Amino acid sequence: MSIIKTLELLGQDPSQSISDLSEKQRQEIQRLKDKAEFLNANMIIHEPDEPDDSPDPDRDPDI
Amino acid sequence: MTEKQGTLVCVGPGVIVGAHISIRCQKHIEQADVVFVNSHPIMLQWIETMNTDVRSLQHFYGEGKDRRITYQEMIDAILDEVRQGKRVVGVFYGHPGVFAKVPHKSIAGARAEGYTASMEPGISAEDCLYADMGIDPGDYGCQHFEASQYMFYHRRSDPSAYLILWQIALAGDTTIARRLSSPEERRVLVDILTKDYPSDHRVALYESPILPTEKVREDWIFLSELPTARLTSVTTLVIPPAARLRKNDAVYQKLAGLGSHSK
Repeated sequence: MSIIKTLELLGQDPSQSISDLSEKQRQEIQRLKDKAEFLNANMIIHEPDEPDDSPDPDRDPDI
Repeated sequence: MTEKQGTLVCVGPGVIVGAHISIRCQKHIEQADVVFVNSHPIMLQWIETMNTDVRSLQHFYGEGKDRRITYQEMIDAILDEVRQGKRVVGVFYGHPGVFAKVPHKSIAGARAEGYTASMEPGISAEDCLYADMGIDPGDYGCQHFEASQYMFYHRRSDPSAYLILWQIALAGDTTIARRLSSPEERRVLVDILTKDYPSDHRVALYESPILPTEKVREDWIFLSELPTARLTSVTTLVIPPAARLRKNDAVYQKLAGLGSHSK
């Protein structure tokens, strides 16, 4: 069984835990994590892209 | 406008591989002609087991590349397939509508061109936070801000409600090029927060796991320790209320008056 399938089953079945995995499977998961780079872990969203991304200023009680 | 043949559905597989995906979301992926994925690589590998035509959107990112160009290229790639009359599914880590511009804009673009497009909710990091930390947003209210936006704009927060700041590791970074802001930049955030909270207010650093083999991170620190705290790209700052709810007697009396007249 592939390690991805193992992770899927582990996620689906609350009666299973990491302690049910073999040492080899744990090492394989660690290798998978080590080489996994998620480029978009941070979304740069603090600046609205366009003026229409901002809410209608008439609804702002400060104005 | 007559609806055309191509369709777009944006779905969220949740945060933890295998644990969060809905049956409906999985069916969308399995039945699609083409599946676009924006997620971490392990989630991508899992989605690849569900459909033979799975395409990652990650390659559109580039060092120093304007994010608006990246997002537009992603949208174009998705809509090109919709225009070819295909059943297209976009898979976006967590919830497809939370901290994600591409699914919202892709759906709006597809609809504007006369195609059927929709979004299916997924389990977001916010949902995980409520479950893992035992927080009910109904108790005192809950305010959510992206940490840098909270700093860069005049925002009014209520210290009698929870305040949750996302992407805290980037708080105060104006370069859009780093993965971690500096302690000095985060000290500016602490300065803003200490107008409403004592510096020894206890705050939590929360991280939801992405694999079923990992544990939740819930580290409690003093607010003053935030600048030097260990932060990652997925850390969220949770600030519990520092003030009691104050009853609005005037509104109460007004409502009581309404009640007597309506009998």
